[in-house]
Amino acid sequence: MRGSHALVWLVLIAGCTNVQAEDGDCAPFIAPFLPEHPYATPSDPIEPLPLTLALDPAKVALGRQLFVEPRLSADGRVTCAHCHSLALGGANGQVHSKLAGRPEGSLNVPSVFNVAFDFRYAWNGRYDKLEDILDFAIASPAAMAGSWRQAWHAIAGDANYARVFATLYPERAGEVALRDALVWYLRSLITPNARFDRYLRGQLDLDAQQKLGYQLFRDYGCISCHQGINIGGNMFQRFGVMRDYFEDRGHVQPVDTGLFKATGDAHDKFVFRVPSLRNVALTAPYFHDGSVATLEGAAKTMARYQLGRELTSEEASAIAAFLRTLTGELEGRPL
Amino acid sequence: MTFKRSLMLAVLTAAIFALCFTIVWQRRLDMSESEAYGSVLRSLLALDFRLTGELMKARSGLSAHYDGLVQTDLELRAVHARLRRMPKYLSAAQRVQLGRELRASEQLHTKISASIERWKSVNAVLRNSLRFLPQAALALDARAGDAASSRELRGEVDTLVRDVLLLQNVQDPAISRRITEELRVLAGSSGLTTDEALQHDVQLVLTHARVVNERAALVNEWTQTIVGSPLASGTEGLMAHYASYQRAGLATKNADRAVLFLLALIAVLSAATAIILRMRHIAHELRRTSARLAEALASLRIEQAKERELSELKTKFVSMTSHEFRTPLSMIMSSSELLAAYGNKWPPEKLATHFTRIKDATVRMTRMLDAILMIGRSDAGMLTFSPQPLDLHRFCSETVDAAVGGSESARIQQEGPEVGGVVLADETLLRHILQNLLSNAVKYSPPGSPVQLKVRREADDVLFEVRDHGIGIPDEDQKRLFETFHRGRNVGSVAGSGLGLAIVKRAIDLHGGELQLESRVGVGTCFVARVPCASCSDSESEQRVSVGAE
Repeated sequence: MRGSHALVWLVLIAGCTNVQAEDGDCAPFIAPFLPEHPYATPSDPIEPLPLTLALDPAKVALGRQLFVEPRLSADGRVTCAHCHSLALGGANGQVHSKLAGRPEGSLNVPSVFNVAFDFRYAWNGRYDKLEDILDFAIASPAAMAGSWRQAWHAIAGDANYARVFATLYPERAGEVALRDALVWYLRSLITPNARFDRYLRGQLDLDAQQKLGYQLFRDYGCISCHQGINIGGNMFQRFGVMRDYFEDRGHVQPVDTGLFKATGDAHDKFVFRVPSLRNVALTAPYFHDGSVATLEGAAKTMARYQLGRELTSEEASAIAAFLRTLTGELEGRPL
Repeated sequence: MTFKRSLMLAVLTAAIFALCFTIVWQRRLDMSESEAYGSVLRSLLALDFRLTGELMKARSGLSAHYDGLVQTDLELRAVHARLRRMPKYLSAAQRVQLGRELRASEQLHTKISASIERWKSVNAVLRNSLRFLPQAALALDARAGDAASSRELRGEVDTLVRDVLLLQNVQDPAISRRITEELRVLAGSSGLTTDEALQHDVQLVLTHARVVNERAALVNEWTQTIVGSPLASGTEGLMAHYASYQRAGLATKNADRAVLFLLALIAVLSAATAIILRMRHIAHELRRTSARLAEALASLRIEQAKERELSELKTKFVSMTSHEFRTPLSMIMSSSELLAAYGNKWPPEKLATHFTRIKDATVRMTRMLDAILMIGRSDAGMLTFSPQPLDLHRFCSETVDAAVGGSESARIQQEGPEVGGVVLADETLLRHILQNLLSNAVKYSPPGSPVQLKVRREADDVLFEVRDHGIGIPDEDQKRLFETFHRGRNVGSVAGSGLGLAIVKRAIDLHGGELQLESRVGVGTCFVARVPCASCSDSESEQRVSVGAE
């Protein structure tokens, strides 16, 4: 697709250049459309992930250790990885989080993958920074149920941690440093080299069904919200644009009101952050309420409530096939 | 200005200088920092333009995703956060002002961000329907087929879709109104067909056409809200203010520099003054010390001279006494020996001659002893001035007799004093004065030559004038005439102790009088002793004199 677009523009430009070069007036108008220029072509709605990010490897390593550190939780039994399993797409494969000795979570667990490319965090996108959602997670009774102070005291006595923190944070070893190390690690959890990314880079071809799925994904308007480098994660949208999802589902909970719960603004009612679709095949069940178990079902639900149409099973399968190409690699290993 | 004051001033100004320097240093205008802040401010403007550009790209479909928009929005937020760290040189008031404007800018940006979020949501829905509407129309077209009954419906849908697509490019309220009308017509037409699938298709077209018709206006509204926001103009105001602060900072910097320079100058000058004053003070002290040293040296020399003089005096004394005493002693010795051996054989005349010799020698020695004692008493401060009523005439007659032996008294030609003049005077002192003057006059003038004594009164003073026609006193000796044991060089073999005039001088000084000398060698000498002697009242004087006579 990309190739053909570029070709068309190149032909156009070439033609223009040939014709206008004689007048010598064309150059300023053409210049913005030269291929090297960012304005060269209408951008592809989806961009591949970069293969690496420039991060501090030592802090990332410390964060990786902390991610599986049970002492960070109040009772010393829960780690971040309990809900955000790297083997389960950065989530837990359950409708809600269910941890021993803790109240059940009220929302489906979102993935921790590719958060570096999200612009807001949590289902309703109420957090601007990863630090903020970590503040939430450390204190949430359904998650760590503790505090940074307590977590820091729990590990500060450990000579290994003390040494690493003293090295990496010579001036401000402590609670803030603890959180910072976790943020570094979360940023490092990117999943490049998905089949679709490699297709975009021209490294391989998709099969017919997958291509059809992508075609439908664009033609039916999914791409209107799920776009950009993270295929979502860069905007808000109301859940139930064309039909009222919550009326159909019933049992409206406060968490279902989305951003409204945080802002109290009527405009924000049922507004959620559009989630990234990367690795979506791994993070069933779907939606903030975990109400749909399959990709096909999720595609149908989205088409009905967001796009105002019904998908046939074939169409849903094709879209699901496309979505499965979005599963990438974590640290060089396919997920 | 004293040394201490200038030193204090130097220390004080140095301290003020240090204080000012610290303050200025803390508030110094770091050009690179200031420029960096200015460039961040400018980047705010650039980001605002980029934001508008990204928005328009996404609106026009040139950009198919919002990453650029989101990225720009995040950068704007980061820049605002960065701008909160203001350069150090800004004053508190400037900080407050800049902070206020920054907050306003931030608030505006927050509003813009919220608008962008709404815009993205609405735009996504709009684009979805825009993209799907032609497909839905195409599907409907296919389903409706070529049947005459559906031809009208197809025409209506065709018009609707064309108008909706037109609306997307030409934002004309008239088109929007026309679409509303067409929607109403199409909704009515759909009721005519019994084909449920067709009806569903028509509903789909209606839904999405409605979405476009409603959301296009909304998106345009939001677009205008965002693009028309005064973030850029606010940023320009911020930049202008900051530029003025920077200019003010530069001016302050120059002023600070001048003040610092002045302070440093004062400190250096006062330190220099202090040093110069200190040096001058030291030099002055040195001068004073050396002067004192010289003084001490001089007095030491004087002491030495005195000592030398004293030893000289002693030598003189010894030689004088050895001579002056030995002569009469040997005379007494020889006369007494002669008398012992030949006394019974010599005639009485010859005996008398030797006895007289013995007596004269004794008198001479007695006088000498008197003189020495007198000088000794004077040196010991035992000589006192105690005036008593004195009959001047009687005193003079007695003194002349005592001063010169009977044979020589004929040479004295006395004038005055008048008989009966009684004055208050110290007789002992006066006698020493007159006796010595007279005996000197007799002694140092040729035998038989007259010696004039004039005694007269001038007011309360008595003047004793003694004039001889003797050897005179050389000029060089006149200066040292009153020193003990000093004698004129022209005395020759005339016997003398060198004490007479010293005694005269001391006695006159003690009496509060004065001595005048007029002398020429070989012609003669004239001493005038002026002695203050108050007259006694007659009764008192008579009484005293009578007492004295008894």
